[in-house]
Amino acid sequence: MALNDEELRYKNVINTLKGLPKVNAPRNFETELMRRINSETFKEKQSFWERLFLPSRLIPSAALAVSAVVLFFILNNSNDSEDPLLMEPKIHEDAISADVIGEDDILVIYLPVNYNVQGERSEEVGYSNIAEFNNERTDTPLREGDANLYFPNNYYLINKEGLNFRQVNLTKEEQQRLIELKEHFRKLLEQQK
Amino acid sequence: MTDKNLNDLSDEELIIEFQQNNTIKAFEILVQRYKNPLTNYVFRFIGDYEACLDIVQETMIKVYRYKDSYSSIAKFSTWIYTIAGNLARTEYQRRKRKKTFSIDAYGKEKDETYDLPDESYRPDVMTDSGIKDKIIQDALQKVSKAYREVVILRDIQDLSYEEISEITGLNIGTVKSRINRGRAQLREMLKDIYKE
Repeated sequence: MALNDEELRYKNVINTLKGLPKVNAPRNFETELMRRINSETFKEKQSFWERLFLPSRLIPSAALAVSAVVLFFILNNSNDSEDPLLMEPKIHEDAISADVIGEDDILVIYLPVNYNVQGERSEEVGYSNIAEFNNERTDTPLREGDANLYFPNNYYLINKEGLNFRQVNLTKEEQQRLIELKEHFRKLLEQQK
Repeated sequence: MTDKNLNDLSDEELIIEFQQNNTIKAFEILVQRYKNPLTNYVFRFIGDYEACLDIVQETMIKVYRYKDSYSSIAKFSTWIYTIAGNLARTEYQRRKRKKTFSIDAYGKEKDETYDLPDESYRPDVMTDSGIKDKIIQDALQKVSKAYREVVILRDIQDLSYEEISEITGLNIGTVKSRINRGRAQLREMLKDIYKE
Protein backbone atom coordinates (compact mmCIF):
# COMPACT_ATOMS: atom_id res chain seq x y z
CA MET A 1 0.00 0.00 0.00
CA ALA A 2 1.45 3.32 -1.00
CA LEU A 3 1.85 5.68 1.94
CA ASN A 4 0.78 9.29 1.58
CA ASP A 5 2.65 12.19 3.14
CA GLU A 6 0.84 11.97 6.46
CA GLU A 7 1.43 8.26 6.68
CA LEU A 8 5.10 8.70 5.96
CA ARG A 9 5.28 11.25 8.75
CA TYR A 10 3.94 8.72 11.20
CA LYS A 11 5.56 5.68 9.64
CA ASN A 12 7.13 4.50 12.88
CA VAL A 13 3.82 4.69 14.72
CA ILE A 14 2.03 2.86 11.94
CA ASN A 15 4.67 0.14 11.88
CA THR A 16 4.49 -0.21 15.63
CA LEU A 17 0.75 -0.67 15.52
CA LYS A 18 0.89 -3.08 12.60
CA GLY A 19 3.54 -5.08 14.46
CA LEU A 20 1.27 -5.69 17.41
CA PRO A 21 0.31 -9.35 17.73
CA LYS A 22 -3.19 -10.20 16.61
CA VAL A 23 -5.53 -11.00 19.44
CA ASN A 24 -7.79 -13.91 18.55
CA ALA A 25 -10.98 -15.32 19.94
CA PRO A 26 -10.68 -18.52 21.99
CA ARG A 27 -11.33 -21.90 20.39
CA ASN A 28 -14.63 -22.40 22.13
CA PHE A 29 -15.94 -19.07 20.90
CA GLU A 30 -18.52 -20.54 18.51
CA THR A 31 -19.63 -23.19 21.00
CA GLU A 32 -20.12 -20.57 23.68
CA LEU A 33 -21.91 -18.31 21.23
CA MET A 34 -24.33 -21.01 20.06
CA ARG A 35 -24.92 -22.03 23.67
CA ARG A 36 -25.88 -18.45 24.46
CA ILE A 37 -28.10 -18.24 21.40
CA ASN A 38 -29.86 -21.48 22.24
CA SER A 39 -29.96 -20.98 25.97
CA GLU A 40 -33.10 -20.17 27.87
CA THR A 41 -31.81 -16.73 28.72
CA PHE A 42 -31.63 -15.79 25.08
CA LYS A 43 -35.19 -15.28 24.07
CA GLU A 44 -36.77 -13.07 21.50
CA LYS A 45 -37.52 -9.85 23.26
CA GLN A 46 -41.23 -9.38 23.56
CA SER A 47 -42.87 -6.05 23.22
CA PHE A 48 -44.24 -4.20 26.23
CA TRP A 49 -47.84 -5.19 25.44
CA GLU A 50 -46.92 -8.83 24.88
CA ARG A 51 -45.15 -8.92 28.24
CA LEU A 52 -48.04 -7.10 29.89
CA PHE A 53 -50.55 -9.75 28.85
CA LEU A 54 -48.46 -12.75 29.81
CA PRO A 55 -50.54 -15.21 31.89
CA SER A 56 -48.01 -14.96 34.69
CA ARG A 57 -48.75 -11.27 34.91
CA LEU A 58 -52.46 -11.50 34.15
CA ILE A 59 -53.37 -13.96 36.92
CA PRO A 60 -52.31 -11.77 39.85
CA SER A 61 -53.90 -8.74 38.20
CA ALA A 62 -57.17 -10.60 37.62
CA ALA A 63 -57.16 -11.89 41.20
CA LEU A 64 -56.63 -8.39 42.47
CA ALA A 65 -59.47 -7.05 40.33
CA VAL A 66 -61.87 -9.78 41.50
CA SER A 67 -60.92 -9.14 45.12
CA ALA A 68 -61.53 -5.44 44.65
CA VAL A 69 -65.00 -6.08 43.17
CA VAL A 70 -65.93 -8.48 45.99
CA LEU A 71 -64.72 -6.06 48.63
CA PHE A 72 -66.65 -3.27 46.99
CA PHE A 73 -69.91 -5.23 47.17
CA ILE A 74 -69.29 -6.35 50.74
CA LEU A 75 -68.55 -2.85 51.92
CA ASN A 76 -71.39 -1.42 49.91
CA ASN A 77 -73.92 -3.79 51.51
CA SER A 78 -72.59 -3.16 54.97
CA ASN A 79 -73.43 0.52 54.52
CA ASP A 80 -77.12 -0.38 54.89
CA SER A 81 -76.67 -1.07 58.55
CA GLU A 82 -75.69 2.33 59.75
CA ASP A 83 -74.66 3.11 63.26
CA PRO A 84 -78.01 3.61 65.08
CA LEU A 85 -76.43 6.22 67.28
CA LEU A 86 -75.48 8.32 64.33
CA MET A 87 -78.40 7.87 61.96
CA GLU A 88 -81.35 10.20 62.00
CA PRO A 89 -84.71 8.72 62.94
CA LYS A 90 -86.96 7.78 60.09
CA ILE A 91 -90.04 9.85 60.09
CA HIS A 92 -93.32 8.26 59.08
CA GLU A 93 -95.70 11.04 58.86
CA ASP A 94 -99.20 11.27 57.57
CA ALA A 95 -100.59 14.69 57.24
CA ILE A 96 -104.26 15.10 57.89
CA SER A 97 -105.69 18.40 57.07
CA ALA A 98 -109.01 19.73 58.04
CA ASP A 99 -110.68 23.02 57.98
CA VAL A 100 -112.21 22.53 61.35
CA ILE A 101 -110.83 25.72 62.68
CA GLY A 102 -111.03 28.25 60.04
CA GLU A 103 -110.67 28.85 56.37
CA ASP A 104 -106.90 28.93 56.30
CA ASP A 105 -106.09 26.97 59.41
CA ILE A 106 -104.53 23.56 58.92
CA LEU A 107 -103.88 21.16 61.72
CA VAL A 108 -101.18 18.61 61.25
CA ILE A 109 -100.85 15.72 63.63
CA TYR A 110 -98.12 13.16 63.41
CA LEU A 111 -99.50 9.71 63.81
CA PRO A 112 -97.95 6.51 65.13
CA VAL A 113 -96.10 4.29 62.77
CA ASN A 114 -98.73 1.54 62.91
CA TYR A 115 -101.67 3.85 62.49
CA ASN A 116 -104.38 2.60 60.12
CA VAL A 117 -105.19 5.41 57.72
CA GLN A 118 -108.71 4.21 56.97
CA GLY A 119 -109.77 4.68 60.52
CA GLU A 120 -109.73 1.03 61.44
CA ARG A 121 -107.91 0.76 64.67
CA SER A 122 -105.19 -1.79 64.74
CA GLU A 123 -104.39 -3.70 67.86
CA GLU A 124 -101.28 -1.74 68.50
CA VAL A 125 -102.83 1.64 68.01
CA GLY A 126 -104.09 3.08 71.21
CA TYR A 127 -107.09 5.26 70.53
CA SER A 128 -109.58 5.79 67.78
CA ASN A 129 -110.83 9.08 69.04
CA ILE A 130 -110.67 11.60 71.81
CA ALA A 131 -113.45 9.88 73.79
CA GLU A 132 -111.34 6.79 74.17
CA PHE A 133 -108.38 8.92 74.91
CA ASN A 134 -110.26 10.51 77.74
CA ASN A 135 -111.22 7.10 79.12
CA GLU A 136 -107.76 5.68 78.99
CA ARG A 137 -104.61 7.46 79.92
CA THR A 138 -101.59 7.60 77.76
CA ASP A 139 -98.26 6.53 79.09
CA THR A 140 -96.65 9.57 77.63
CA PRO A 141 -95.90 11.84 80.52
CA LEU A 142 -97.88 14.99 80.48
CA ARG A 143 -96.07 18.22 80.73
CA GLU A 144 -97.18 21.37 82.35
CA GLY A 145 -100.04 22.84 80.39
CA ASP A 146 -101.00 19.57 78.76
CA ALA A 147 -104.21 19.58 80.70
CA ASN A 148 -105.42 22.29 78.41
CA LEU A 149 -104.74 20.27 75.33
CA TYR A 150 -107.92 18.83 73.84
CA PHE A 151 -108.50 17.22 70.50
CA PRO A 152 -111.54 16.98 68.28
CA ASN A 153 -113.19 13.63 67.52
CA ASN A 154 -111.74 13.25 64.07
CA TYR A 155 -108.18 13.27 65.20
CA TYR A 156 -106.00 10.73 66.79
CA LEU A 157 -103.33 11.15 69.31
CA ILE A 158 -99.88 9.80 69.39
CA ASN A 159 -99.56 6.96 71.85
CA LYS A 160 -96.47 5.47 73.40
CA GLU A 161 -95.49 3.78 70.22
CA GLY A 162 -95.68 6.99 68.36
CA LEU A 163 -92.57 8.54 69.76
CA ASN A 164 -91.14 8.53 66.33
CA PHE A 165 -92.01 12.10 65.50
CA ARG A 166 -90.37 15.31 64.53
CA GLN A 167 -89.85 18.02 67.06
CA VAL A 168 -90.40 21.50 65.71
CA ASN A 169 -89.45 24.73 67.33
CA LEU A 170 -92.32 27.11 66.89
CA THR A 171 -92.02 30.78 66.28
CA LYS A 172 -93.93 33.24 68.41
CA GLU A 173 -96.63 33.58 65.75
CA GLU A 174 -97.02 29.83 65.53
CA GLN A 175 -97.15 29.54 69.29
CA GLN A 176 -99.85 32.23 69.36
CA ARG A 177 -101.78 30.36 66.72
CA LEU A 178 -101.43 27.12 68.64
CA ILE A 179 -102.81 28.77 71.77
CA GLU A 180 -105.77 29.97 69.71
CA LEU A 181 -106.27 26.47 68.38
CA LYS A 182 -106.20 25.04 71.87
CA GLU A 183 -108.77 27.53 72.93
CA HIS A 184 -110.90 26.70 69.95
CA PHE A 185 -110.71 22.95 70.63
CA ARG A 186 -111.56 23.51 74.25
CA LYS A 187 -114.68 25.38 73.23
CA LEU A 188 -115.67 22.67 70.83
CA LEU A 189 -115.27 20.00 73.50
CA GLU A 190 -117.33 21.99 75.92
CA GLN A 191 -120.07 22.29 73.34
CA GLN A 192 -120.02 18.50 72.87
CA LYS A 193 -120.51 17.96 76.57
CA MET B 1 -26.88 -25.41 -0.62
CA THR B 2 -23.84 -27.44 0.49
CA ASP B 3 -21.28 -26.30 3.03
CA LYS B 4 -18.65 -26.02 0.32
CA ASN B 5 -20.81 -23.72 -1.71
CA LEU B 6 -21.57 -21.61 1.34
CA ASN B 7 -17.86 -21.14 2.03
CA ASP B 8 -17.44 -19.74 -1.46
CA LEU B 9 -20.03 -17.04 -0.88
CA SER B 10 -19.14 -13.47 -0.03
CA ASP B 11 -20.12 -11.96 3.32
CA GLU B 12 -23.06 -10.18 1.74
CA GLU B 13 -24.30 -13.34 0.04
CA LEU B 14 -24.02 -15.27 3.29
CA ILE B 15 -26.03 -12.77 5.30
CA ILE B 16 -28.70 -12.72 2.58
CA GLU B 17 -28.79 -16.52 2.66
CA PHE B 18 -29.21 -16.32 6.42
CA GLN B 19 -31.92 -13.67 6.08
CA GLN B 20 -33.92 -15.45 3.42
CA ASN B 21 -33.53 -19.12 4.33
CA ASN B 22 -32.45 -18.86 7.96
CA THR B 23 -29.41 -20.99 7.10
CA ILE B 24 -27.55 -21.31 10.39
CA LYS B 25 -24.46 -22.57 8.56
CA ALA B 26 -24.23 -19.24 6.74
CA PHE B 27 -24.29 -17.45 10.07
CA GLU B 28 -21.61 -19.77 11.45
CA ILE B 29 -19.32 -19.04 8.51
CA LEU B 30 -19.74 -15.31 9.10
CA VAL B 31 -18.88 -15.84 12.78
CA GLN B 32 -15.79 -17.78 11.74
CA ARG B 33 -14.70 -15.02 9.41
CA TYR B 34 -15.20 -12.14 11.79
CA LYS B 35 -14.56 -13.45 15.29
CA ASN B 36 -10.82 -12.78 15.19
CA PRO B 37 -10.79 -9.38 13.44
CA LEU B 38 -13.50 -8.14 15.81
CA THR B 39 -11.75 -9.57 18.87
CA ASN B 40 -8.56 -7.79 17.87
CA TYR B 41 -10.37 -4.52 17.17
CA VAL B 42 -12.38 -4.52 20.40
CA PHE B 43 -9.44 -5.64 22.54
CA ARG B 44 -7.26 -2.82 21.22
CA PHE B 45 -10.03 -0.37 21.96
CA ILE B 46 -11.07 -1.63 25.42
CA GLY B 47 -7.85 -3.24 26.66
CA ASP B 48 -9.64 -6.04 28.54
CA TYR B 49 -9.80 -9.49 26.97
CA GLU B 50 -12.80 -10.83 28.93
CA ALA B 51 -14.86 -7.73 28.27
CA CYS B 52 -13.75 -7.84 24.66
CA LEU B 53 -15.03 -11.43 24.24
CA ASP B 54 -18.38 -10.46 25.74
CA ILE B 55 -18.69 -7.59 23.30
CA VAL B 56 -17.80 -9.72 20.29
CA GLN B 57 -20.29 -12.40 21.37
CA GLU B 58 -22.92 -9.75 21.85
CA THR B 59 -22.13 -8.43 18.38
CA MET B 60 -22.68 -11.88 16.88
CA ILE B 61 -25.91 -12.31 18.80
CA LYS B 62 -27.14 -9.00 17.45
CA VAL B 63 -26.29 -10.14 13.93
CA TYR B 64 -28.25 -13.33 14.58
CA ARG B 65 -31.27 -11.59 16.06
CA TYR B 66 -31.39 -8.54 13.84
CA LYS B 67 -30.28 -10.12 10.60
CA ASP B 68 -33.27 -8.60 8.84
CA SER B 69 -32.11 -5.09 9.63
CA TYR B 70 -29.07 -5.57 7.41
CA SER B 71 -29.48 -3.79 4.12
CA SER B 72 -27.70 -5.17 1.07
CA ILE B 73 -26.62 -1.69 -0.01
CA ALA B 74 -24.02 -1.68 2.79
CA LYS B 75 -20.96 -3.87 3.10
CA PHE B 76 -21.40 -6.56 5.70
CA SER B 77 -18.00 -5.74 7.22
CA THR B 78 -18.94 -2.12 7.88
CA TRP B 79 -22.28 -3.21 9.37
CA ILE B 80 -20.71 -5.67 11.81
CA TYR B 81 -17.89 -3.27 12.70
CA THR B 82 -20.46 -0.58 13.42
CA ILE B 83 -22.31 -2.90 15.80
CA ALA B 84 -19.10 -3.92 17.56
CA GLY B 85 -17.90 -0.32 17.73
CA ASN B 86 -21.13 0.87 19.31
CA LEU B 87 -21.02 -1.88 21.90
CA ALA B 88 -17.35 -1.21 22.61
CA ARG B 89 -17.96 2.52 23.07
CA THR B 90 -20.85 1.81 25.46
CA GLU B 91 -18.71 -0.59 27.48
CA TYR B 92 -15.83 1.87 27.53
CA GLN B 93 -18.09 4.63 28.90
CA ARG B 94 -19.53 2.27 31.51
CA ARG B 95 -16.07 1.27 32.68
CA LYS B 96 -14.90 4.87 32.75
CA ARG B 97 -17.83 5.91 34.98
CA LYS B 98 -17.26 2.95 37.26
CA LYS B 99 -13.56 3.66 37.60
CA THR B 100 -14.13 7.36 38.32
CA PHE B 101 -16.74 6.54 40.92
CA SER B 102 -14.61 3.97 42.73
CA ILE B 103 -11.59 6.27 42.96
CA ASP B 104 -13.72 9.12 44.29
CA ALA B 105 -15.41 6.87 46.79
CA TYR B 106 -12.08 5.56 48.04
CA GLY B 107 -10.72 9.03 48.78
CA LYS B 108 -13.86 10.17 50.59
CA GLU B 109 -14.37 7.13 52.72
CA LYS B 110 -10.80 6.78 53.91
CA ASP B 111 -10.19 10.50 54.04
CA GLU B 112 -6.87 10.05 52.37
CA THR B 113 -5.35 10.64 48.99
CA TYR B 114 -5.25 7.94 46.36
CA ASP B 115 -2.42 7.76 43.88
CA LEU B 116 -2.95 6.02 40.59
CA PRO B 117 -0.24 3.45 39.95
CA ASP B 118 2.55 4.64 37.77
CA GLU B 119 2.45 2.60 34.61
CA SER B 120 4.92 4.66 32.69
CA TYR B 121 7.61 3.17 30.53
CA ARG B 122 10.52 1.51 32.36
CA PRO B 123 13.71 1.05 30.24
CA ASP B 124 14.89 -1.89 32.35
CA VAL B 125 12.16 -4.14 31.05
CA MET B 126 12.20 -3.00 27.43
CA THR B 127 13.88 -6.14 26.21
CA ASP B 128 10.81 -8.22 26.76
CA SER B 129 8.65 -7.97 23.63
CA GLY B 130 5.55 -8.93 25.55
CA ILE B 131 5.99 -6.01 27.87
CA LYS B 132 6.73 -3.76 24.93
CA ASP B 133 3.43 -4.77 23.41
CA LYS B 134 1.76 -3.98 26.70
CA ILE B 135 3.33 -0.54 26.76
CA ILE B 136 2.05 0.11 23.25
CA GLN B 137 -1.37 -1.16 24.26
CA ASP B 138 -1.35 1.06 27.35
CA ALA B 139 -0.33 4.03 25.24
CA LEU B 140 -3.15 3.23 22.87
CA GLN B 141 -5.57 3.30 25.79
CA LYS B 142 -4.40 6.81 26.67
CA VAL B 143 -5.15 8.16 23.20
CA SER B 144 -8.40 10.12 23.11
CA LYS B 145 -11.33 7.81 22.48
CA ALA B 146 -12.40 9.55 19.26
CA TYR B 147 -8.90 9.27 17.80
CA ARG B 148 -8.19 5.79 19.13
CA GLU B 149 -11.07 4.15 17.36
CA VAL B 150 -10.12 5.44 13.93
CA VAL B 151 -6.41 4.74 14.45
CA ILE B 152 -7.19 1.11 15.32
CA LEU B 153 -9.49 0.71 12.36
CA ARG B 154 -6.92 2.19 10.02
CA ASP B 155 -3.52 1.05 11.31
CA ILE B 156 -4.39 -2.22 13.00
CA GLN B 157 -7.45 -3.45 11.13
CA ASP B 158 -6.27 -2.11 7.76
CA LEU B 159 -9.64 -0.71 6.76
CA SER B 160 -9.92 1.95 4.08
CA TYR B 161 -10.82 5.56 4.88
CA GLU B 162 -14.15 5.01 3.15
CA GLU B 163 -14.97 2.01 5.30
CA ILE B 164 -13.95 3.88 8.46
CA SER B 165 -16.10 6.78 7.36
CA GLU B 166 -19.09 4.44 6.99
CA ILE B 167 -18.48 2.69 10.31
CA THR B 168 -18.05 5.86 12.34
CA GLY B 169 -20.50 8.03 10.44
CA LEU B 170 -17.85 10.71 9.99
CA ASN B 171 -16.82 12.28 6.71
CA ILE B 172 -13.52 11.19 5.23
CA GLY B 173 -11.79 14.49 6.01
CA THR B 174 -12.64 14.18 9.69
CA VAL B 175 -11.52 10.54 9.69
CA LYS B 176 -8.12 11.44 8.24
CA SER B 177 -7.69 14.33 10.62
CA ARG B 178 -8.55 12.22 13.65
CA ILE B 179 -6.25 9.42 12.57
CA ASN B 180 -3.32 11.81 12.29
CA ARG B 181 -4.05 13.39 15.68
CA GLY B 182 -4.23 9.96 17.23
CA ARG B 183 -0.95 8.98 15.64
CA ALA B 184 0.64 12.18 16.92
CA GLN B 185 -0.50 11.43 20.47
CA LEU B 186 0.87 7.91 20.20
CA ARG B 187 4.20 9.07 18.84
CA GLU B 188 4.54 11.45 21.76
CA MET B 189 3.75 8.69 24.27
CA LEU B 190 6.04 6.16 22.62
CA LYS B 191 8.97 8.46 21.92
CA ASP B 192 11.20 6.49 24.32
CA ILE B 193 10.71 3.35 22.27
CA TYR B 194 11.58 5.12 19.04
CA LYS B 195 14.81 6.53 20.46
CA GLU B 196 16.27 3.05 20.70
